[in-house]
Amino acid sequence: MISIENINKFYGDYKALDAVSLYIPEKCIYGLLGPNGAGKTSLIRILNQITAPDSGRILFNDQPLERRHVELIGYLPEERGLYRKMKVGEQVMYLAQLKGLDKHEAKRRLKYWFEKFEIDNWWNRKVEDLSKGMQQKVQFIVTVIHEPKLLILDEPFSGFDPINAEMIKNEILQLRKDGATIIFSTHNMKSVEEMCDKIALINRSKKILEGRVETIKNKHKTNNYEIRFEGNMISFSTALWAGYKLLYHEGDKDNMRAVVSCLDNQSINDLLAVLIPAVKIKSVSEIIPSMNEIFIQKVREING
Amino acid sequence: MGKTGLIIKREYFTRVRKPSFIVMSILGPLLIACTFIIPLLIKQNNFKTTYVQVVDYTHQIAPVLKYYNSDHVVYLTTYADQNHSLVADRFQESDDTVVVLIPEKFMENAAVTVMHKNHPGLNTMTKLKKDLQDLRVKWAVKQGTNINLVALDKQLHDVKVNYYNEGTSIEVQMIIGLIAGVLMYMLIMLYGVQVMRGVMEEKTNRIVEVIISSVKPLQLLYGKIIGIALTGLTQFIILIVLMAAIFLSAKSYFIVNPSVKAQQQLSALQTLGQSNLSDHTAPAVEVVKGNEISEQEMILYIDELKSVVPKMLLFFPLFFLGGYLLYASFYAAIGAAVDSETETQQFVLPVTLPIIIAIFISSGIYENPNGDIAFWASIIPFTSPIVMLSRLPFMDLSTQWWEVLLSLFLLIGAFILSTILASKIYRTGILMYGQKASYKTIFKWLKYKN
Repeated sequence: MISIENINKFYGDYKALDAVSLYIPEKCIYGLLGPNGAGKTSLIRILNQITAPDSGRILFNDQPLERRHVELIGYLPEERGLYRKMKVGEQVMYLAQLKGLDKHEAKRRLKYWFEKFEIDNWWNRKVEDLSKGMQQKVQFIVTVIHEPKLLILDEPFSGFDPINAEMIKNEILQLRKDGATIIFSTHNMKSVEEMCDKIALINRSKKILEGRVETIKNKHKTNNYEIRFEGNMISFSTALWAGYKLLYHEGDKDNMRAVVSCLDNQSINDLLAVLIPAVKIKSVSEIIPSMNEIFIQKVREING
Repeated sequence: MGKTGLIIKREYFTRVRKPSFIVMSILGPLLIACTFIIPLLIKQNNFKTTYVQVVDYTHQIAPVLKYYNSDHVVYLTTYADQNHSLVADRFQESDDTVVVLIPEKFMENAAVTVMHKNHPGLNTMTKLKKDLQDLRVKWAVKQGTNINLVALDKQLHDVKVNYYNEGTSIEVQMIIGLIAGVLMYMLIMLYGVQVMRGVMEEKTNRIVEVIISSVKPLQLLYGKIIGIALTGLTQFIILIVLMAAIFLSAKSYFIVNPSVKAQQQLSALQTLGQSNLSDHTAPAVEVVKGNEISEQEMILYIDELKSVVPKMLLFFPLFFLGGYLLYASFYAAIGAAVDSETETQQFVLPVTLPIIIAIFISSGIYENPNGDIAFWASIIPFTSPIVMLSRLPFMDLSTQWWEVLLSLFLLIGAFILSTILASKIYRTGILMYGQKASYKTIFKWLKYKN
């Protein structure tokens, strides 16, 4: 769907993007992660053709990104904004027409969305009279009304209460089901884990990580296991005498919890083999790092 | 409709539909009309009497002129029948203020010459012209055997006046020039600042990102500038239409029904036809004259307006567009560069300064409308829209047309340049948040590639 190839972008002497290449497959929810000031916004603006890269190229469905593609892209910027003094209906009509919809089609779709979000009686109200959540809904409608093939959402959940956030999340998933590709820039790692298929991590103008969420998590797992058991802690730790390391333990005799790291090439089967004779095992689970942990770890590694 | 068209439409209609626009459009012309009508009212109540010395080379007119004496103008004939320079010498030594020399061929439409120390004023001059014209008509009537009024009207021309000394103050031109200058100043400032606010609103609102992900930044900028320009022109048109309406109704209020007037004139002519011109008994004429003075003055006053107004109506929109586009581009750049209203101060002042200088120059332009300052200030693009409009009423376009064209040409060049610069600042500025704008950073943006 989108192929970003070796993009460089300078602001004066400052390099905002340094040889960034990404591939975003069709119908994918693609998480664009990175600390503040890493270059995410620059990349998003280049995709939206708000600015142009100094070098490199972008392919949209295997064709170089062009002006006409803006009508296939929906963009929800992080900092939301509408004309405060303009009426809601008029405003959405205006923005929809700027995205290339004709008047009647815009009106038809607008009615659909306003009814869906239960804001049809807000048509003639000024934006400044709307609550923040309402404004967010209007903004979301503006983003999707022209049924874009590519949605670029910058922190889509900020400013929504949990109920509305859930609603927006379902809308996003539905849009993907209907064939949209979604680029999703956020600091909310929970939503990344819940929704993203692929992610890229950008730090200090460079891409430092890209891949499927599962793959990345598996790659970053440290072969640690959480074990719950009944029995003597001394016999438990004695059983681990070679090839394993006890990282943590807590609880009392009937309800112990321990975290064990398998050293060398020991597998979970090997671990269980040494533990079964020693204690009564209640549960075993592999500890998989969260995206949050991976994010912090990777960024710290580089930034020192 | 193109996307720029959509933007133009929004920028235009959100402004035109504002109550403040409607109020301004109605109050504005009223205020301006007052500045025309008040002097008119003042003129009517001017009780100072002017004594006009008549030197009559036709030997026919001076004796009759006495019967035209009014509270304001008294004709005297104490000067001998000498040549111009002798009269001038004597005039200089006397206490007299105005001398009118009526040439021998006055009846064949030769111009009269007026000598004055201080300008006798519009009041006196219009009465003098009107009286002489009246006499000329009566003379022609007396000569004619078959009076054909239409033919007579074509045959006779208005009385032409040559001023013996130079430097006459010309009120109508002055007033129109001043008003045009002030109006231009107000419109350029008003709409220039609206562009700035509009750009700033979009930037601080962050809606600009949504819009320029749909259209090019420059489409948005030009759409906004053109939309607001159309708002300004609409205001101008409303202004002109309303003012014309006010004047027409004022005219019909001040002036008696034309059919009544025509009736009076006819009866006056009939009386004259039967009597000698120098005959003292012409009561009908006197009655008509008594009623007509102020009315006639007003007709002439408005007629003088008519000679100036068309060129103003032609050039005002052109210079407004040029001046507005020049300043709007600067204001747009400022709006894009700053994050808040308070930050605009440091940039607005240097941009506003030339406009303020221009309004100062134009307020004194009537003193010397063709002097060096007036000339250059009306040619240099930053002051030209205002100063040229103040100068225009005094200009004779048959010889000075090149000045107006040069000025327009330079103005167009200037706004093209300023728009190119402003576009560069705009493009970068609207996406820069939280950065304190300074001249240095703005200069840096000019060098950015897009």
